[in-house]
Amino acid sequence: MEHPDRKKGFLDIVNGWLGESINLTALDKILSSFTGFLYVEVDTRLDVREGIRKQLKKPISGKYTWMSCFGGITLLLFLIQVVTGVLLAIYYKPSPDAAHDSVRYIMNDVPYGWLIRSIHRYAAELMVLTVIIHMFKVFRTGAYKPPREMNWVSGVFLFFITLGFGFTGYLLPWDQTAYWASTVGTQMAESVPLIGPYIGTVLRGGSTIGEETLARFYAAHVIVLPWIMFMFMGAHFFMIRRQGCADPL
Amino acid sequence: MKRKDHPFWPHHVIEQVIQAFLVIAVILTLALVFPAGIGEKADPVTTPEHVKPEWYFLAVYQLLKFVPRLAGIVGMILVFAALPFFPFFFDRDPEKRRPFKRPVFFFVGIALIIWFVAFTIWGKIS
Repeated sequence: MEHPDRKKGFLDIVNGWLGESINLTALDKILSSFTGFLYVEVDTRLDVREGIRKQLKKPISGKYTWMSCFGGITLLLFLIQVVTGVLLAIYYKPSPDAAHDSVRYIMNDVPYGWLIRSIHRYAAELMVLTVIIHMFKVFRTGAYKPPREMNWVSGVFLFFITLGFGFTGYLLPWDQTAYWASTVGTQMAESVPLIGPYIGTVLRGGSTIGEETLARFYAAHVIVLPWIMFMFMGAHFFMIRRQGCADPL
Repeated sequence: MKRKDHPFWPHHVIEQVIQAFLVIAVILTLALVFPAGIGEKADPVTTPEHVKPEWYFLAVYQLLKFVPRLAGIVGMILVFAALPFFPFFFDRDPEKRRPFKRPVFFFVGIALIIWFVAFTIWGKIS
């Protein structure tokens, strides 16, 4: 007698098991017991249970293949960047005199500072990689075609913002490679016809990379870009949830 | 096997959790085996011999070595300006989504991948 689970994949078995053991009613119970009276008070006024149930019940359309995972991984990597970035910002000092020493201090003296900074570094590089793979997957399957063009637009801007994070974050350790890579980078921006010199001045706050540049890149990296990122991500996820994924080919 | 629609809870959530653990494992392995380093403190007077950007800017950087700077910059701006908005003007038929039903766009995509990979490697070794 063949076992009924033999032909199922690993995920199907786990899903089936979870579907039986954790149903929505159980989730309601978990929510209400963990958050106690607060949840009940909020729910009687705002009926959040209805909203949560609706979102959890709404199916993911389309076929989930291994190529579909890179958008979700990008979100995860971004959340890792938020957490590790806040931890780094506690010890980092954005001035030419102190920046390099503060990064050395994070690496050598702060408990697990080396680990947090390494995670921030690798998650950043992986994030650029997963964004590019996600983009090519969407391109190859033509998922940006009507009615989902706006989702492609928001996605391309998210890609640009990710590159902006990489560009501004690279200068912050204030070592030789960072300094001269940023010099070359801003010079490239400067050679844009007509508006180039203005872009160069705005980016650097002067004619060379210096104190002003570090302050600007730091402000962009930890305040401006994250908020723009949150806004575009909100739009990106709202649209894909509203319209559903494109049908499988 | 085709799974058309599957529920957000718990099916999609468990997939996301499993892939999250895999990604965290990869990052932790990289961070533990090759911790991030830091170079000499920046010295605005001494230019190092080889200046290279991060790997994801290498392909553009390498390309700009071989085309005239102005043409390269202008071309790059045009590509970056066209990228977000081309779906409003080209390749719009939602019925033609398989790669070989839209060969022009498919081969543009393939050419972009080949350029990106080749110039990144070239920029790395040169």
